[in-house]
Amino acid sequence: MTAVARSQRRAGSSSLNWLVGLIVPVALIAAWQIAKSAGALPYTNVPSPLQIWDAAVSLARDGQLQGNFGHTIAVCLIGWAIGSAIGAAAGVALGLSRRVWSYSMASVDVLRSIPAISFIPIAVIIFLQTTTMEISIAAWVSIWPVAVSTMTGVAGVSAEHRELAASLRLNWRAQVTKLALPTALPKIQVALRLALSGALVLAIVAEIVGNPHGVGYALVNAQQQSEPAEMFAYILLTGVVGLVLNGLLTLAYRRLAPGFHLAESRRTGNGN
Amino acid sequence: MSTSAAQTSQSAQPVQAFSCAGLSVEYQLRTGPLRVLENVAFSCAPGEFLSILGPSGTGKTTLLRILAGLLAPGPGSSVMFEGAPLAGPNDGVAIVFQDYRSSLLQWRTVRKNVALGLEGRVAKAERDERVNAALDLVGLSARAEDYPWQLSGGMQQRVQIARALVLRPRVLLMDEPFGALDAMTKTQLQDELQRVREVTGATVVFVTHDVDEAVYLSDRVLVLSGTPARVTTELDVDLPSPRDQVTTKEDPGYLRARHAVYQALKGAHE
Amino acid sequence: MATDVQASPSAPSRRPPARGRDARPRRGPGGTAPLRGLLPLVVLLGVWQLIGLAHQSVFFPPPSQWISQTATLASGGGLWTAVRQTLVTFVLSLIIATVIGTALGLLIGRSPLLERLLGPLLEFFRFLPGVTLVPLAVLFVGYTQSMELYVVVFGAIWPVLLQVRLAAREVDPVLLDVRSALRLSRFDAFRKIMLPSVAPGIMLGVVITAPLTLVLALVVEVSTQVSGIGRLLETAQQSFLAAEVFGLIVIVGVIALAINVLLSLISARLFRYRPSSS
Repeated sequence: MTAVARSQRRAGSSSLNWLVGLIVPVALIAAWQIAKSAGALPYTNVPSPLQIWDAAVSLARDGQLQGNFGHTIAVCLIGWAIGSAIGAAAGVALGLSRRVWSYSMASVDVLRSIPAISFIPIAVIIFLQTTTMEISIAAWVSIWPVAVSTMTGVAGVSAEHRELAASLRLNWRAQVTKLALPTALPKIQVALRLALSGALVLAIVAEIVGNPHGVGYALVNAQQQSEPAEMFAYILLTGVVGLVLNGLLTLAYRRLAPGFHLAESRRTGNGN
Repeated sequence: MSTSAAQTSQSAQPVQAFSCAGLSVEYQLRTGPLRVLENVAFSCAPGEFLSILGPSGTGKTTLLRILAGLLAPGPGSSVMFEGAPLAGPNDGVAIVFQDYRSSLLQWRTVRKNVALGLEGRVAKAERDERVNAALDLVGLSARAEDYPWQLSGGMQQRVQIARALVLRPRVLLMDEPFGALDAMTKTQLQDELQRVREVTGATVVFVTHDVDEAVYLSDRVLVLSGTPARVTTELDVDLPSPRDQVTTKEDPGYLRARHAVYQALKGAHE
Repeated sequence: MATDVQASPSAPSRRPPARGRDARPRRGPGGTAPLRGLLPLVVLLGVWQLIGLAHQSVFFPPPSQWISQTATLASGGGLWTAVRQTLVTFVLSLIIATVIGTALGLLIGRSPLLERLLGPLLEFFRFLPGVTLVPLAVLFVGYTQSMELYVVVFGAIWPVLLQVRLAAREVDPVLLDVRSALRLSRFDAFRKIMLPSVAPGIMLGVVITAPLTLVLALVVEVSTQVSGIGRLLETAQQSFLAAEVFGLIVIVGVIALAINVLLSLISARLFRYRPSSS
């Protein structure tokens, strides 16, 4: 088949694609259930989809599911917000002032290269096994991607815009709010997304290791009590939560910063 | 847009809008200093339409940026704006850049782009009123809520012009503003520029490499050429106003002026 | 925005001096950070040390204690064993993840059918925090080294898979026509056209996933205390030995930095001859 014909074949309607994409997961789940019911699956440890569903329902019924997810999501969001705010402020300083950048960037590079997980034990020692500990870690991991991207974005104000600012005699504050931050926004948006997933992961790890609350703790608990159905329920729901949080963020971007979304999607050609 | 303010300044002072003498500029390149302008001297009267004409790369943009206060001239230069030494960007001067795409803020609507220079400087009511007037003047009132990328090149350039006009400048500096546009849009905008000038009475310093454009629009033409560049010719363009794309270009005076400019350019090359 | 403020004698304003388009570029965000940027860290450690000498602190022991505590660990506490274990896990997982990720990426990237079938599933899994699978893996496989590998590999696959999938999708269709025109065998076509075409994608995927792999290894080790530096971190935490934790943080940092430097050297060499890839 020639190149032209091949590329013509590639186009397809997107909602149809979506449905087709659901076929495999649905089919897998169905096959899994059938195999389990027929006793064909050798692993007694692996629960069937129905068992997972039952476990999820009963967890929801006695409030555990909501409580645990509520805790983890809250910690994730609070830590993410705090860390992003600090990161953005640091990024603005680093991006706008060559002196600040020159005298601190190397330190930033060192600190952000250290895997955040290694700071959990210190956080536990200082804050003990509390929610504060979790939030502090979620905040710490959020700082760095936001700081770096804010810095890059803010420093990336084009020469033309800088000239415009000079010709309009914009004061320092106006330059930051009207030029630097909007220029940096696309990069900041990406970094916020990254930071959000980082905060979620670290919150869960912190719960596994430290604070006996939330999804992480529930997972360990279920493992120790040999409740695989519960574990699967939590795991799958965590995946869903991750997707939902991401989707909410995208939605927020579209509502709050329409100018960027429209220009961006036009430039890159995708409709997200 | 009131014309009284501009007219008062015209009649009350014989002082030139711009007056330069001994203007020279040197760029610091990786390979060493490059003298771009040498001993440039000219003046521009208030209300005048002055074109600065020259081949690409002569330093016309550099000169304009100096007039805009964005670039510091070399030692020994004298640049006066309305009788006083120019010390940086001035409220009475507005500049329109050639590359509208990178000069407009793509994330702001047309209206907010135009309002940029007034934000924080005037009260909201007055700001809205002036923005609406500027948009009206360039004929973009219907597209005020659109984003720049939704507009054609000619319209985007008009947004830039509106952004400059909203500041009520006494002088409008324009850096090859129609250079990136197709011929038809160019003539359209040339005529709109004339109309705008009539309404506002502003002085215009217009940089271009298009001889026809320069002759068509201006009262006076400066030819800048050489390396380093200097003013090699100054020509008065004596044509009736308002100018028309068809009749003016058939006027023998137009052809004479055009001839003279081309001669000047050719002479500069020899 | 930090414009050069060099006022020339005749113009007491803040206009920048004339610069051509190709004037020397300004150092700023985007270039390599100058070493003097380490000053804040050095100062912090110095002040910390000085305070620590005067003051006893459970939470913030001074750097000298980190060194002594870590030295104890090194001489008899199994520090080097742990480091070796973590590094082995890291390297092994990276290799396995690269191979599997590349294979899957190629399969899915070249097959529109698979792409449509598996697309949403992939999106779900790439956002699933790998850490959640740790307790699951423990349940099924127990507290073993292979458990660690399973989890880390699972988490590390995705960047490679996604990059290779992208690269495989974007293989210039003309190249495939070349294959038919030259009548290359499938194996030859794969080796000579496909693999080199996706090689930048593979490299990019590896560069992205390597730090992730290290983190994941540490996460598993911290949560399960199976082996490695993570285990040491956890035991130090449980004994409230802050000095040891800080010492281990420094070691982890050094390893992470070394990996980063190595990766940037490799990608600089490999991407040198190509226009910047996607």
